[in-house]
Amino acid sequence: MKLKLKPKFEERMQLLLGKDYKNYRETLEKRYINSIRCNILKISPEKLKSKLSKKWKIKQPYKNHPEIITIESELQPGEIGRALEHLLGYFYVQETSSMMPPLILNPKPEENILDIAASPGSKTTQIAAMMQNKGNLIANDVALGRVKILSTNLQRCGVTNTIVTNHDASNLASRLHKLKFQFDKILVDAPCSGEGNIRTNPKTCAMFNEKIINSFSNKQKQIAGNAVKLLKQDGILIYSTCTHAPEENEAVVNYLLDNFPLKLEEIKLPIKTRPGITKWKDQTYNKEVTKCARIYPQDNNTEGFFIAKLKKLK
Amino acid sequence: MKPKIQLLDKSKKKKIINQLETQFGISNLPHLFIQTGKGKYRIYSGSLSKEEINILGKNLNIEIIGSRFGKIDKEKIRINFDAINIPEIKNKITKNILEIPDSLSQTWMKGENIEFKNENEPNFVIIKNQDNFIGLGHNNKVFIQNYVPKERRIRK
Repeated sequence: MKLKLKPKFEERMQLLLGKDYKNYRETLEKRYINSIRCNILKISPEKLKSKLSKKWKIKQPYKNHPEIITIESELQPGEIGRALEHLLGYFYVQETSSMMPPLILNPKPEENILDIAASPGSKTTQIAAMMQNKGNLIANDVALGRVKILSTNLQRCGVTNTIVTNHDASNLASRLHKLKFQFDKILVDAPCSGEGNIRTNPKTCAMFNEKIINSFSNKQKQIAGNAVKLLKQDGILIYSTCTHAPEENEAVVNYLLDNFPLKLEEIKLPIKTRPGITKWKDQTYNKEVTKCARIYPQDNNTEGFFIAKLKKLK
Repeated sequence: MKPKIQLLDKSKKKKIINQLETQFGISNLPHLFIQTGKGKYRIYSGSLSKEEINILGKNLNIEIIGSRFGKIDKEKIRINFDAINIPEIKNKITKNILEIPDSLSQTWMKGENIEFKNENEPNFVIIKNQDNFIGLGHNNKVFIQNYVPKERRIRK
């Protein structure tokens, strides 16, 4: 059945993509490729590949990232979640584009890292795995119900280096600021309107409206701004969303550049990306935002994402 | 109400390690042990010291630290299902491993007990199939009582 898009959403995407909109629209109707991430805290990608190959046709599309696995077979609903290897925490069901922000964050075992909006935990478990369960990782979420989901996922994946907290971003920032507790790296995977996920979560289409986008934009500026205060000098902040809306992406990064001692850094990813945009409707953004990465469904047959890498100056 | 977080001192940790060695052959674990309720333990492998954790605990709403490790049950330690496949733990388990064939592993993962008549002292055993540890059971000389948590079972 063809995905129904709201006219206003279509109009915005046409404005954003121009001639490429047709390609985008066709991709939304294509079969979605399931992707999983090998949990290297429990098993190596080679061992997992050998186990999963017995039941599914799988691929490791990125040579330097063997932990990223796609399942090419047609699957029954819930089949991945019921697999023994999933129950044992050997892998996490995660969309390929959602694996990109932790790759840019590039966490190291000795670092002190904050994941400020962590639930459900796909990126938190990925960060913990890259840290080899060492260093220190604080995973925060504002909603208690979401904290429970986060805790369950950390448990299944055998994550032991993480402290889970339940605060809104400004409250967490002011408490940690008083303690002079700072981080080497921070991930702000901000709550967003989710336009990039409409293939896997068609409900997002029904919920779409521009008021929501503006409301998210304000919230995102507040969360990211508070996160900056907790970052050490030369520390790295990754800002990401799973939406295409420039108000929630470039506009937020533009706000951060205007109000905090930050500079944008280049991003290199194993998948195709496009630069951030400098103009949207009547708004013009700092030219530096072209260093941000836009991930569109039509480029990699993944979901959509936006990523910015910011470094804190003096 | 959140359970009170209590970081174990060396002597209390040693007591647990001694018990783990007796039951499973685990003679050391570098993690910090945390008691979260009566006989319930978590482990933390991060770099923060006890003092730093205590300071954070006084100033933040900490929901959890680290991962569930196990609990005292029948005066023995029952290691958590998710913890037994963490390599630092898995690689140290040398005792009380019961290997079962593929034909029984499906039954086990559905949450069913396994018949197992033996003369061993009642104890917790790690169930192994191929190279996977697929949970913990209690051997009561007649059958192995299944402790695979509901959310980790293969649905019937």
